[in-house]
Amino acid sequence: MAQLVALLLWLGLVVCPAIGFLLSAPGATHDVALHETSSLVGPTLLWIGLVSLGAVGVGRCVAPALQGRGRLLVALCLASALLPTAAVFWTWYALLDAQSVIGAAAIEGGWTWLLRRAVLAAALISTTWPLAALLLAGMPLRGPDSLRSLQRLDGVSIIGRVKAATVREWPGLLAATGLCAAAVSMATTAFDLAAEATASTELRARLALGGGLSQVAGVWALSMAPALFGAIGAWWAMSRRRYQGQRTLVPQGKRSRIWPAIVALALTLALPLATLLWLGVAPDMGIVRATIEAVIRAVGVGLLAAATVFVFVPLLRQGRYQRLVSVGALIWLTAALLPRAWVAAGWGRLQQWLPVEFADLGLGRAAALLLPAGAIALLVSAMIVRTQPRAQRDLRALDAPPWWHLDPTMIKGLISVIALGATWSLFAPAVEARLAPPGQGPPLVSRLVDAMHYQRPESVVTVLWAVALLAIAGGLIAAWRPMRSAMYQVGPLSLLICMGVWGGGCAIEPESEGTPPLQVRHLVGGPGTDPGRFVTPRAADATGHAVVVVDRSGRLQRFEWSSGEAKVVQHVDLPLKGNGFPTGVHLGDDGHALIADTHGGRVLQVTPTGEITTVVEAEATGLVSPTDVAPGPEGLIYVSEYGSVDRILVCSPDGALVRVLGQSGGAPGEFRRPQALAFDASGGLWVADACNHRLQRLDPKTGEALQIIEAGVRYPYGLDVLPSGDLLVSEYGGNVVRRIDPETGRSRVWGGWGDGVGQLRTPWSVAIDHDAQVAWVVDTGHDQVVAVDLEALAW
Amino acid sequence: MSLVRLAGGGVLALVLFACDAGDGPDSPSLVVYSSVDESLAQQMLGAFKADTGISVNMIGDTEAFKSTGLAARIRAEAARPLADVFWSSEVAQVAMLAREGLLQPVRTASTRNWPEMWRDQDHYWHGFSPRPRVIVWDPARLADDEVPDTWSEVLSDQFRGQVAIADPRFGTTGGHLASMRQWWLDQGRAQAWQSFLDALSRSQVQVRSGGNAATVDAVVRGEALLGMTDMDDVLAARRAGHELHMRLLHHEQGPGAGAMLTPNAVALVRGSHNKAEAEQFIDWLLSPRAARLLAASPSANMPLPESVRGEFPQLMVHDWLDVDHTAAAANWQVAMDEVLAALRGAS
Repeated sequence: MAQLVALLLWLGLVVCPAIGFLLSAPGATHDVALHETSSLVGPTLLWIGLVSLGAVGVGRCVAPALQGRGRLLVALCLASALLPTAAVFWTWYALLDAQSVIGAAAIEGGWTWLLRRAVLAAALISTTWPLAALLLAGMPLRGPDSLRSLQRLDGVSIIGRVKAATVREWPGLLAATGLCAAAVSMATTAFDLAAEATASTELRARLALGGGLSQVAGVWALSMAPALFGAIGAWWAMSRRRYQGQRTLVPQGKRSRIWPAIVALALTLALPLATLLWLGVAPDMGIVRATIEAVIRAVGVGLLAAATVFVFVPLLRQGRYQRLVSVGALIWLTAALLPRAWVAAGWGRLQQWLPVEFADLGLGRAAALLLPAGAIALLVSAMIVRTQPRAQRDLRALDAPPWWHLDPTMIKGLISVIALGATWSLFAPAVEARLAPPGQGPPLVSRLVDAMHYQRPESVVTVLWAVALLAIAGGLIAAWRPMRSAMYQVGPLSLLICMGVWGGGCAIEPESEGTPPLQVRHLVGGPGTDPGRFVTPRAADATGHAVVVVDRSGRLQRFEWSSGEAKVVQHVDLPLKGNGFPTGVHLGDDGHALIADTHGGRVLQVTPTGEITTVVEAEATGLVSPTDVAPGPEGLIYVSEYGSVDRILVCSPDGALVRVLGQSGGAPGEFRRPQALAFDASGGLWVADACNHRLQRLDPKTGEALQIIEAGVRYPYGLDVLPSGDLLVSEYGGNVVRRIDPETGRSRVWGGWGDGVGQLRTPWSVAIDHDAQVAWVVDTGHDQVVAVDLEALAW
Repeated sequence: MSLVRLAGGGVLALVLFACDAGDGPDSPSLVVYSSVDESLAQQMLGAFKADTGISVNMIGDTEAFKSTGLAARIRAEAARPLADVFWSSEVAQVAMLAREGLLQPVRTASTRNWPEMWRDQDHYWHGFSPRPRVIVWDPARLADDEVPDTWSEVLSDQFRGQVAIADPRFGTTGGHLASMRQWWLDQGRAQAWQSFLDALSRSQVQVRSGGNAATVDAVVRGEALLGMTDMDDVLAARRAGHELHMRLLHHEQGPGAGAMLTPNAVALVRGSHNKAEAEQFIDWLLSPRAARLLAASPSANMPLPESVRGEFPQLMVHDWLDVDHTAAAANWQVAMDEVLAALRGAS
């Protein structure tokens, strides 16, 4: 009786949003359709059909491994399922861009549209096959084991054997197909990102525009029909058939093949995670905390959904209210397949009549997410009951243990529900956008979708990594102890995660949040090739109220700085060789600019009138890749270079080589990528030894290292000397400008990674104009150069 | 025993779910619905909090539906509004809410003197820090001199099937088309708008769900030669390393027919519980300080206050489309009906 009441309460969850939506359904008089429903039938069915078949195929190949060996593989499978499809698609598609071989070939050959669709299909399959695999691993089969061995002995072809296996296993395959179809039809964000118009994207658009029932019904029916069909078929299959024994996918006495699982996991789990390295971005630590909180919340939903199992399993076992339970289950399954935007709108409307606390605690969101999670619980309950061996069933009827009694099958089912329920509630953009309480900050999924649209790969890959690692850790802990005590593990695990979040919360605050931004006096640039704009500026130098900047488009621009403004006075295209990436420039008091033409193996000079001459050449000096140039005592020109050899060449004004300082290495006087040079007032030569993460002061005559400073610099690319003798360093790796006192070693930083004013992205260079009392910082990642008053850089 | 465990599990579940219920309301706070990029909005809100001590809880929406989704939410919550301020990245949705009576007028020191072109007549909404609509192309596939000068020429036969636009039902694309229509109608040239619609129908434009970013992606990937998008989306793509050119297209030759500028819009929601703080926030958004922050940000919005314009000469657009934003927003739905009919007719 108690279960019946509980069932009715749960059904209330299903009915509420429908009521809410019907109450709120506006009567839009305008037609909000961009695509005719009929034109969407083909693409939608094709996508759902092909992806489901692919996912079930892969899942069927992997399922035996899950049955045979289990735990670690289950954990990895769940991690694959947990990754948000849209993010997986986005990272793979970002890898295959114009710079990649495949991407370039696609653009050249005009088949980018095919590449896009192939990557989308792969992403959809990669996140749905685990669902199929887990379901199939749990479903026993009909028919004797010996049949398969007989077929092999008889020499039946592979196709024949597959056909026979399909006939035997059709309930499980049908259920798996239904589940995958539902998952695909819910992957609206992935279709959006891939610019594929399907019924679900058009449905969400029409709902967002307040489309009336008549305009929404068509696309709703189309997007839900395949999934509904599969789900109903699955329920029917599980409720009509009674299974004899616990026959498994792997015949007795045989070890299942593991390589399908390994290959599938490598492609679907390792590949998205490896993109962090391939895309070459630093992680966005600020989003890690939001990810952990979202995962915890999702596990909470999974636990609530697991409670549903205790409602349905006894009901199904009793057999007294079969019809009622079946009807209830069908209603629930249907509601679970409703577009979440609809459910979210319904609960949003309902919240108007409920106390404010309901919304503030996020209970509306919990209820909206419980719909699909509870449906999984329903299917799993049916599986638990129907797959119990007859003998055990009879024993239970005799013993009549209490309804909360946990046997191994029940425990397995609960863990599946928690895991799959968490999976389906982790990334639900429509629900989060509509029902997340304002006090909790922007939901993770909104930040993730924004990051994908605004090209912030660091956030996307960080979330993928964090989610996968959490899932794997959770799965490992759950699998570590014997399954019997599984319930013990979930509790401590959840508590541990909670404690970790709150206790370690400070530890994962990104360090640049504490770095004060630069006080920007003036900003020059912005991306572009017009005068006054830059394309990846890398070097600057300033003196006498003038500053010169060189950038990756091979231009030198000269600005005059007066009364707080910089005006372009010269804009020269340099005759650069190779890729044209000069990374060093020096501006003399006479207005002549010396440029280290990094890929041309030479040093150029540009006069204020625009004449360009070559000052130092490769043939005469053996120069390969100069990084910076600085005139020194006795009129000699000092040129640092890196690449094949790390050293400093000292040349006479007419380009002849006088001597060489240093070599590649980590010892004093040796360098790894000497990126910048600067002379101090006493004639010492400071070198930014970038890949050794240090600064060296050398004797310019002998090359002996007089002083070495580390001060925590990370890839110091730019260097200049302040009037007081302190150093100002721009760190490409640290994303800061650092002031260092060479005598005491103390340092202070400004900037920090970010897009706000005064924050930096990979600053390559810094230059001090002593006359104007201004420091120019080349903020390369933002394509701009900023001026900061020297007094703003005081201790 | 098991029952106790079970009950414990249930309580744990609820605790986990609600575990980050947020800070208590001890400091003054606001709820802002914003369709601006979340990362930019967080910086702005952080700066506002640093200046005033008022903390702001922001609610956004997914990129594809941004302002439209938030406007729908404001409508749904009309009886008991959650939001205090609506900060939208375009005008049309805000203006529609004003006509439906869901906003309150804001008459403060900053808003009283706000230029008429950039605000509602009765101060229901105020536009600021606009960004231009641009045409984007890949210089490796299209030479600069082959790119048309006006928006009508983009739909010519030469570029049939090669132009990508975002879904016009959402965001700045819809606002742009509605403004175009309004501008032509205001000049008594309905035929010009009809010709544009006919060209739209013939030109087989690729309509991309996924917003302006998807449009730029289509150009980057070679699926389209030209893209109609916002400048900040092109800048984002350039930061990602793509070589792209863009131009602020005119609507016709001659003054007053220049680039389309889409302003941000901010409004006070009717029924807001924190009116004083909300007005303070609106004033701050309209101030030179906010204009400077937005101009220096990655989205490179053009500053409107005179005092700030001189600091960002590279962002100034001197000849823009002189359109009545209020009227354009008022007729947005009609414009959309016509555009959708043209696009559907093409497919």
